[in-house]
This record gives sequence, C-alpha cells and structure tokens, in this order.
Amino acid sequence: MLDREKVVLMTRMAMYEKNEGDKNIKIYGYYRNDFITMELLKAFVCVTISFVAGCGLYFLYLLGESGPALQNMDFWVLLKNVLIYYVITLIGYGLAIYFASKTRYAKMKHSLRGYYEDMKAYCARMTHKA
Amino acid sequence: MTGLLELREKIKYFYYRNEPYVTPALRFVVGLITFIALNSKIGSMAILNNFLVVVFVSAICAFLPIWVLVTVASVFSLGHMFSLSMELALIGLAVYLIMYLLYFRLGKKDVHWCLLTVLMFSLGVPYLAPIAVGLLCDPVTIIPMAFGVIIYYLLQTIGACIENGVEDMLQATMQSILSNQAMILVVVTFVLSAGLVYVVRRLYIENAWKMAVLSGAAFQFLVILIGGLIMKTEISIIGLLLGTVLAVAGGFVIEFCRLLLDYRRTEEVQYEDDEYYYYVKAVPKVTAQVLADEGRRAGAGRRSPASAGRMPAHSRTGQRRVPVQSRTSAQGRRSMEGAERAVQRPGTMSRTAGTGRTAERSYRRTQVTSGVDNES
Repeated sequence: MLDREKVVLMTRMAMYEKNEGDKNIKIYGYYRNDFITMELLKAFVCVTISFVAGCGLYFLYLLGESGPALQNMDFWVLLKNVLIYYVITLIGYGLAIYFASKTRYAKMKHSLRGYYEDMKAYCARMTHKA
Repeated sequence: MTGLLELREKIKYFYYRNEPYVTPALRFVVGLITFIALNSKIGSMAILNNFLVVVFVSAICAFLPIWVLVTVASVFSLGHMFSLSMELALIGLAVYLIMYLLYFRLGKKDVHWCLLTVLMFSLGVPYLAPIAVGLLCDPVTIIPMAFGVIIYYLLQTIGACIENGVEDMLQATMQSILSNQAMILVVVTFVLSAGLVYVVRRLYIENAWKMAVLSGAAFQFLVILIGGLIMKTEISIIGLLLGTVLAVAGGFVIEFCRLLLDYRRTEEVQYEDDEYYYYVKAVPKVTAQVLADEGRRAGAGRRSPASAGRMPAHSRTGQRRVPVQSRTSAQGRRSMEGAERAVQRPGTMSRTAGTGRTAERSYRRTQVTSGVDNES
C-alpha cells in the first residue's frame, strides 16, 4: 500500500532538486570562504576580459577620432589612467560579487535546511518501517 | 469592469490548463518577432534572412529556456554584423562579451528583459520598459534593461548606416556606443525611472502601483525633455508625449493583470501575542467573484424593502465581512492564533481592555473567514 506521507516527502524533495536544489547542493560542497574566494577569482577573470574588450573599443574610437593626437599622447599617463580605471572597476565589481555571494550562500544554507529536514524525516520513516 | 475581470480569470484559467502548450507558443511568437525585427533592421546575411530559417530557429527556441533565445538573437546580430564587416562584428562581440561576462553569467533569471527592452523599442513603446521592470521585477533587472537600450542603439545605428549608405560605418558605430548623448540620456533616465517605480510600488501607501506608474512616467517625460534640451539632442515632443501616454496605459494594464486592489474594503485589525503588538492592514484583491457578489447585494438592496430584511449572516451579526481573498490561509491562521492567545489570557484582556475587544473581534472575523459561523 502507498505510504502517503512518504510520497509527499519524496515529491517535495524531488521538486526542490529539480528547481534550485542542484545548484544549492553544489554550492554546499564548499566552505563559505572558499565559495566567496572562488566567485571573486571568477569575477577577476571576467572583469579583466571585459576591461580589455572595453579598452579595445575605446582605442579604436580614439584612433578614428584623433589619430595624430593619439601619437602625441604621453604613453605613461595613458597607461596610468587605464590602470586606475581598471582598479576602480575591479574593486566595485568585486565588492558587488562579494556581497552577492555572501547572500547567495546564506540563502542556499537556509533553503537546504528544509530539504535536509525532509530527508531526515524520510530516512526516519524508512528505518522505522524496517 | 466585471467583464474585464472575467476575461482575466478566463485567460488565467486557460493558461493554467494549457501551460505546456501556451508557454512554447508564446516563446515561439517572441522569437519570431525578434528575428523578423532584427532582419528588417540589419539583415544582410542571406542565410539568416531566410524566413524558413527564422521559423525553424524560433521553433527550436520555443522549447528551450528563454535565455537561449537571447543568446541566439545575439549570435544572429553578430552574423549580420560579420557579413557587413569584420571590425563591426568585433565591436558587437566586445559589447556582448562585456554584457555576458559582467552580468549574464551571474544568473539567467531576468536576462530576457534585455530582449524585451529591444522589442519594446522596436514596437514603439520604449517608455514602457522601465515601468514594467519597476512593477514586475527586482532592482537587479535594471542592468539587463540598460544593456537592452545600448544594444538597441547599436543596432539602430548600424541599420541607419546601411540605409543611408554611410562609408565609415565603423566610426559611426563607435560613436553611437561611446559618445551618443541621446543614448546616455535614455539609459540614465530608464535606470532612475525603473528605480523610482520600484521604490514607489513598495511604499505603504494606497494605490501604490498607480502612483508608481504615474511617477515613473512623469519622471521620464521631464528628464528626457529637459535633458534633451540641455544636451541639444533631437527629441520629438509629440512622440515623447505619446510614448509616455502609452507607457502609462501599459502600466495600468500590467497592474490590472498582476494586482488590482480594492481600497474601499480595506480591513484594519490590531492584536497582540507574547512578543509583539500587531497593526494589520489587509487590502482585498478585486476579483470577478467579489464584484459579482457586490452587484448581487446592491441589487437585493434595491429590489424591495421586504427583501432588505433577508441579510447575509455576517451582516445580521453586525460583523463586517472579511473577504477570503484578503488573507492567505497562513495569515488567517496566524491571526487566529494570536487572537486566541489574547482572548484566552484574561490578564491581558483586563490590562488592555481595548486590545482584548479588538482581539475578540478579530477572532470572530477569522472564524467567518475560515467558514466557521458563530450563528450557525
């Protein structure tokens, strides 16, 4: 005979796994600090690539707008400015990612708590039956 | 009004019953409109311009998540740019790369707002985008909306260059991205306006959604008008006015479909438990059923003096009727528990007699709400 409560528990767990559980269980494999560090590393790579793409666009624009003026430009001043903008972008984006990952980890932990409670109830039910 | 509400309920019911078919169909239509609009604007690659290809790709995208459609649309536009010039494709690639690496990799939940913003521009209702985002989404969605505006201006410039046969398309495109004042003005206005709509919508005021729509539209109108005059960008005042009116109408339609509240029947209750004192304000949603009930009651009141004596049970007992829609079952349960505790503790009642009365009243109300009538 079908165990109604067991079916309810299993359905709830399956629904969670299907929607957000997979991702959350993966995140749960990391310690909080490790997860945040990993996200920050990813952010560093992404910001660097995006910044290079953005700089490429800007230099292309400068080249078309004022080709000769670009030749007279002080290279070191230009490099310094580019680096300053890069660091500002990196810090801004890094901070956003830091807080976002922190919140995400906390949310994940909260939502997984319910899942593991269901799991515990299911296991207890199975043990009781056996 | 009742007819409209009934229509809304019917559509909802239809969607609920046929969700597995309706969602792909809607995605197919959105994909078809996107690819056709893209081809009509910058369509220069023969293969991608083929209608059969467009239908085929839209059909595939219909069965995949919506972010796939956004990605495929990006690839489509890059293909067209590549057929125009390699450098142009590189510019497009750089813009898409920045967009994907900085935002889209974080979450694919609201990515489609980028596509929807471009579509709203193409359909002539651009000012609806920030209002819709402010009403329906989280503040993070403002980022894909801003990217949508940038992409629209990029595609618009390329399209204009193709139409006018501009030789230096590369430079014109670069200018449109980096020093297009009209685009910067629109991006800043849309970001601020969406933020404003979101903040006003969440305020604890009556008619917050309507206020949000009106304030967002007025803000957009004023900022674009004044900014356009200061920056000396070309702005059609009639177009701006018409666009704003359409945006307000669209905002009201969104409100009607998403959340329509009846502030005339607002309920305010107060009760306490061990830790808190609760001031609860419940505003019922307007549904076709509630309107029909109201109409019936009004009709019964008008029909004859004799029939006026036959009042519903909750009116006979002197209680105001609390509509079922005004609370979720959990809210009702919490309220009842709190009220029960307040009623069961005589010390509390004697200490705060007013509170006790209120709690008892709220308990009786919740009994009516949950279908347990004292009288019966």
